[in-house]
Amino acid sequence: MKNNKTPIDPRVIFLFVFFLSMVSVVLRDALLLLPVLLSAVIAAMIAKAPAGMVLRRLRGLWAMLVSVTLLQALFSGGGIIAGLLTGAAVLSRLVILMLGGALLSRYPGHVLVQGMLQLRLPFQLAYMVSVGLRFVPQFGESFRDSLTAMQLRGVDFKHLKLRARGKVYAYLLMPTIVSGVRQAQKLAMAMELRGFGAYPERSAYAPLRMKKRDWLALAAVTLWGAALSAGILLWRSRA
Amino acid sequence: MTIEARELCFAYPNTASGFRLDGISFAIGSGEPVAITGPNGSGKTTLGKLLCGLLKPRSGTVLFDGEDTAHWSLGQRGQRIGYLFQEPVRQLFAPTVLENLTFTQELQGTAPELARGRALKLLSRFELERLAARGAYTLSRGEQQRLAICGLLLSGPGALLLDEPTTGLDARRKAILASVLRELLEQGVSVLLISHDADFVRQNAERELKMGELCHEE
Ligand SMILES: Nc1ncnc2c1ncn2[C@@H]1O[C@H](COP(=O)(O)OP(=O)(O)OP(=O)(O)O)[C@@H](O)[C@H]1O
Ligand SMILES: [Mg+2]
Repeated sequence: MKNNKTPIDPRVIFLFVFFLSMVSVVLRDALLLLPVLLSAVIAAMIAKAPAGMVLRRLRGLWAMLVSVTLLQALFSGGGIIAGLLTGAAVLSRLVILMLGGALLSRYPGHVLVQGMLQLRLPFQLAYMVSVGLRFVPQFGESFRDSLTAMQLRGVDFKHLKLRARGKVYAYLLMPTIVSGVRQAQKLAMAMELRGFGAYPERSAYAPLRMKKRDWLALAAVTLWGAALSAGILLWRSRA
Repeated sequence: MTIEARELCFAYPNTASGFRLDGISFAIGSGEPVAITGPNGSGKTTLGKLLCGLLKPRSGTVLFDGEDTAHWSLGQRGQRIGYLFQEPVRQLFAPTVLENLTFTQELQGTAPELARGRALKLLSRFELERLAARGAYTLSRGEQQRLAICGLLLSGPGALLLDEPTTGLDARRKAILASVLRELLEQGVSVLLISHDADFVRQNAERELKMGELCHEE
């Protein structure tokens, strides 16, 4: 239903991704996350979102995440099964969020911005988000470089004590965060110099319009969301 | 340490650019300063990453001191060869200048006092000691570059591979870098310079490997 020539209105996808992220952040139970993960996967498949590409871009992160997960499983109290479940929950949450990102990545930035504007979000915010998305691959590369630089300095991740490991991971994120913030500052300055936000009202060249297909998709997403919420609530009240 | 490349072949996966390195072979002796030069995009950085093991060649081998490095871990490579990234920011981790040099040592079990002493000595060599307590990310480009080089020298590598080491350095700091390199060369450390800085290459390398010629050598 989603792969005709023009993609579904981005606002519908926003709703879907918003719900996905809310649920995946709130839920702590790997079993409950499973249907959410499944719906995200199915949606990505229907929409032909470049999920594989997104996952591949984060390849450098994968090994680390899996090892962190395993460690958590082994060292946090409560036995191996409980630990593994916690690890699985963390991982599936991440995958859900990335699939959400993949769904949105099919839209050109200006369409996303337009969608957010028509949802009455302030323009600056909308623009910031769309620019941020575009820098994601760069973050991945920067992070991978730092990871290898750290290893070249002789830091052996496998043989670190737990406390040292926390510190090393924090250090690893530093270069990426710093260069990200720097880039944002530079960009903001450059944009202001070119008159960004000089007028309070912005007019749009191509406003979005909901078509029949979009309404159908919206209905589907709403139904799905309601069903999922109901299911989760039921499950909780039973347990 | 000697470095040898035998018939290295490499292409980036899934890119349409068609850039590739084909059958690259050369050898660098202990204590020999060699420069790799070539225009932008000719693959100097790529070749450097292949030598350090950051990229895996499609075929061919890299040998350090005659040993095939194919199965070495990054940590093992890092102990033999110091690699300066073209973007030094990615090599700075800890919040302060000094900690950037002490934290790896402490992870490896060096006593804090000893680690600090070593770090300060290196910093003063590169005229960074006044900045020891400063935030690493507020340094200027040239200062960051010098700090990253200090980080490489800590482990006493047998070879240095510097990707554009003079970017952002003023004349005085270039001279310091050159003198440090000369000292290292005397101790038998091999130096591979990737650089567009013709003067620096002329003064500090005995031999120049041109990317264009490397690729067509059989
Ligand atoms: N990660 C990558 N994926 C795909 N192609 C790449 C990647 N990195 C570099 N390239 C391409 O490989 C070629 C060689 O790049 P490389 O960075 O090795 O050049 P260089 O000689 O170091 O250039 P410069 O003088 O600008 O530093 C370029 O055409 C570049 O576009
Ligand atoms: Mg380069």
